[in-house]
Amino acid sequence: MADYMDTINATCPMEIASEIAATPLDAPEFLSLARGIEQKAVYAGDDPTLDPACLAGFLGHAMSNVKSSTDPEQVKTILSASLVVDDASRDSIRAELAELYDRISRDDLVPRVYFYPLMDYSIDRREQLDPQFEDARIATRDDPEWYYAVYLVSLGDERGLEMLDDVLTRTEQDVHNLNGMLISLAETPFKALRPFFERYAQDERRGIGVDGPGTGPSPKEIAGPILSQNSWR
Amino acid sequence: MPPSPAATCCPQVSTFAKPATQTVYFGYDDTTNQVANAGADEYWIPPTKAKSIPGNKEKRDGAAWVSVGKNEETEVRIAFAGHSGAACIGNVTFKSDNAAVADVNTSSVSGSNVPFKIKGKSAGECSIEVLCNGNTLGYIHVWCASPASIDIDVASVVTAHSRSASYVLADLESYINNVYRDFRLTVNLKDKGDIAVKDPASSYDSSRTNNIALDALVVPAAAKAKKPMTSPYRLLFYVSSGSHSGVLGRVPGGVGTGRSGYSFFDHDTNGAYNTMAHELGHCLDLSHPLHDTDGDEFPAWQRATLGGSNVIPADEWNLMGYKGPVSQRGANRIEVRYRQWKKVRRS
Repeated sequence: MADYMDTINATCPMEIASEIAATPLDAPEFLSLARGIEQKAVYAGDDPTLDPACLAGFLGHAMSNVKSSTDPEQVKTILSASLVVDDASRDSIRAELAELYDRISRDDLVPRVYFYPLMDYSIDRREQLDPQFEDARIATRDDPEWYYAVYLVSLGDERGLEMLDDVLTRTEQDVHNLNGMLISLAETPFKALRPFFERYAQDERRGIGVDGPGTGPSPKEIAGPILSQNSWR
Repeated sequence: MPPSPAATCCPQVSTFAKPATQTVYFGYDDTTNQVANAGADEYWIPPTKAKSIPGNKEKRDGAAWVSVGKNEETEVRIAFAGHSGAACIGNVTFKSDNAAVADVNTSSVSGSNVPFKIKGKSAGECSIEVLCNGNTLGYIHVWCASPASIDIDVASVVTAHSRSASYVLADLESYINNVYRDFRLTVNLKDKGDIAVKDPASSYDSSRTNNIALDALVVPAAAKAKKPMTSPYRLLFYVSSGSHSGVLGRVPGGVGTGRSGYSFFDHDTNGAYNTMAHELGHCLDLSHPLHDTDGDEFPAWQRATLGGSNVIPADEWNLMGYKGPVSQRGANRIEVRYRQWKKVRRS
């Protein structure tokens, strides 16, 4: 196991390193400490930006201390913060993150929190997850099955596209839900998902807006800007 | 609680009220079940009326609803009328009709208008009944939820036509959390500062179409600037560097279109925090009273009184209504009620 405290001491300001050393994962102060470090790492305001390696070291240290009994709110905070670690520092915690998933329960976390780090860090847990999603069929975009499908797409697994195609086809008469699915897919602009946006790029039906049915956006309004952006990956 | 023992005297009725200090309770809703005929339809009028918990817990009998989180305690005030001396009040017992959801954390009371504590145990609904000598004296309804937290990215969209907004993240977070505590929701705001993008519009444009296009630009631009927006919701200031558009808040993606919901604000002055709490409500699937077309957020009797406006006469300062002016909203437009507690998205 990497010695994250060495990284922390080498890359974090002394007061933050001391605070990390003095704050165990199960302490109530851990959440505010974690959020503060994440905030400093990605947006410092008037302060100098924190070294990204400090955030990675802190998260690696925290991940290594997660047990199956750890409060899900702490786990959520760690997983959410892992999404903002810069590319150069990710390799230093990838293995730790993968091992963390052996100790946490999917049932304790909302699917987005559980699956997004797996996607972002390209961690393949299909062997463990496939049995849980045997014959899975997506009902809503909130389902774990939805996120599993997107996760499969992130790994280049065609089954994910099939699951998403199935639910989009079944949903397309309900334009409001279709909009929600497109907005959700836009969070993960994998190139393999592009055909779904192209499919609805001319759909001008309107969903539910703040002023009621028919006042919301159309699939065309949602898909158009996504298709024209250059951040597909 | 054991059954009420045979008592020599009992109060005739018990009622509940909101404590003066907000820190001891979460949501308190005395509006949903508000009576049609004040002074006549309340379950406690007349005090001698036979009482029982109604099958329809939204019956307009004046009973209140309280919200509480799992493993949390909330407090209300309990009062008695008719034979309300300490000796008679001492004969009162309490019973939850679903103790697995919530139960009483006050074993006995010895006076009127005193604190009464309720402990949440699991997500669900129940009623707490006040009994004496086998008779129901009064009741209060409880909604319990597992406390949840939601991450939200906050940023200013800076373009040739819009400027960096002035806001204090901690104040904004505190304000929203003060309103959303009724839901047993906590928001964690993550400041991403200014995100510069090339506005697709040739001038300041707060239309839905342009806001959607801006959001699609802002997210990758933030990632490129090493301030990635990874939270499921975004509150984005798009403040005209010229004169304001007049649009205080906008949810261009639609109501409750799911995670990755976002709102825009052409407003960073007094009242903006309340507007943000309101627009966040839309992101979390809450509607205006007038636009609750499926009728699941406001009782039918309240919607029948709207008269084409977005202000419920019996609940004027509901968070999702339009009562104003803006300068008064910060302190007042903060009420959320039982059906909204149930409806709001929790992740």
